[in-house]
Amino acid sequence: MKKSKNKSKKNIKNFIIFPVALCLVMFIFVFAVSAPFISNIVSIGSMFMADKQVDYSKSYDNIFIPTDTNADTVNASDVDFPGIGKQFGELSIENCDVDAKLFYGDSSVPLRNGVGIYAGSFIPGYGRTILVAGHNNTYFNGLKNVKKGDVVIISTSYGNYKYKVTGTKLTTDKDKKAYDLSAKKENLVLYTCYPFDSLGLTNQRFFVYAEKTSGPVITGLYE
Amino acid sequence: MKEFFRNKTVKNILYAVLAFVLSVSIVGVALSSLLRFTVLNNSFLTDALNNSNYYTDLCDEITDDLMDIGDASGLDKSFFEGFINEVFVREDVQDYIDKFYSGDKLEVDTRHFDESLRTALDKYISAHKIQSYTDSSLSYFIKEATGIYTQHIELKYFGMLQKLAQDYSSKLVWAMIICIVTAAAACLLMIFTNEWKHKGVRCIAYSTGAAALFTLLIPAAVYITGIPGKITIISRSLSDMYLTCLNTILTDMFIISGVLFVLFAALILIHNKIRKKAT
Repeated sequence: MKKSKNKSKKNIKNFIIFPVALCLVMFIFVFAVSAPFISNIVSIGSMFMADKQVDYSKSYDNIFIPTDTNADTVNASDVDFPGIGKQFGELSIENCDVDAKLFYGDSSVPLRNGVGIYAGSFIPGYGRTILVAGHNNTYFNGLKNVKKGDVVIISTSYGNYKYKVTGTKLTTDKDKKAYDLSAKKENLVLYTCYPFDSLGLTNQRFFVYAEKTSGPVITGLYE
Repeated sequence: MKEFFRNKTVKNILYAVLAFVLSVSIVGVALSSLLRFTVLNNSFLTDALNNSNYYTDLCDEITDDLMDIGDASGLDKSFFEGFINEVFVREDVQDYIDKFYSGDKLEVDTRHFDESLRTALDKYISAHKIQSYTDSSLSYFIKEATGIYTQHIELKYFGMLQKLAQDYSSKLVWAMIICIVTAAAACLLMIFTNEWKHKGVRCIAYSTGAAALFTLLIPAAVYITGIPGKITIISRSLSDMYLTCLNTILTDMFIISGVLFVLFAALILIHNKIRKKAT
């Protein structure tokens, strides 16, 4: 009787141990067979994964707080550097009916709500080229009135900047010489589609060039 | 030679190998049939699209993007409001899916969209008495808008997967047949080469249990590591659609695992019954 009970217990144990062992062997087998491709599979899989849930909303963050400071310099540590798609300032041109929110990045959300700095260029105070895009029928429609000597004002949370318009140019969207992103001097380039007030899309671009006249230089950038 | 096969250790090793082969075959049948009835099945994808609120989201996304391009082109925001018709979007997406499974060239038929847009533009121009436009600027706009529509109708990554799906669809049937034949052969060998039938049934039970565990651990691992929550694809509608597909596949795996566990339990009962009879 006791012998039969023991055998029965052993059987139950076997029904747990053997399937688990077999399952383990199967995993090892599958791993061994797929080892040559596993890094590729993981790489392909990671293309569709993100650490955090993506925000698909069309809203945007605003980090712009107007300031009255007129300092000549501002330390990089005091600058709240904008992330892509964030509003961090305002841009206006006196006498031109241009007054828009300024975003970092020029994708659909910024251009729907204002004008945007091309993320491959620089923000004001860097001493480099600032390339700003806007739609010709909305926020940059006023560029049609711009004249040499007009003042462009950019307000950010870390300082207020003024740029003087030096000229304009009409060219195509393929013209890479219309701006120089490697320039070592702070210069503002505003551009939009051309002609103004016209229906449809075009490959013509209207550029406005301006040079900095005032505003704090960001220091301590490369320390 | 006969003596060699009668040796208990050799016998045990042979049965262990057979049990392993049987487990792999069962998992092979389970996974290949899962693929056959999910990923490689037209109605599975159609259901996934319907169940994930895909079309409503897609229409919103297309309208949003068209509004952006409309903004850049001097059109009122209201121009694209209600312009996208869900019925036509459904037809175009379904047509794209049908092409995917039939192996036809994956192209989006944009004739309807194109015609609707031209008609709406003509109406808009005459209603607003607009004169400042050229044929080329309008054609450029229509081309870009059609491009946006096409991009949204296309199911991302399906272009890459089509050839793979075509190649593996027929191979999968063969893989399933081979797995079924191998599993049947392994079962027969275990039962008919064994003096004690209950020992053969026991081996089959071990394999079934292992296969059940295997098919349980894969979806469990996917959920534990939080992979479904990390899926990130260009748009909300596509992400939701892929997530629905993944969830359905994983749920199906849980069901398969459950069926195998039931089978495992039944085999244990049969084993006990036969053993009692034998002793």
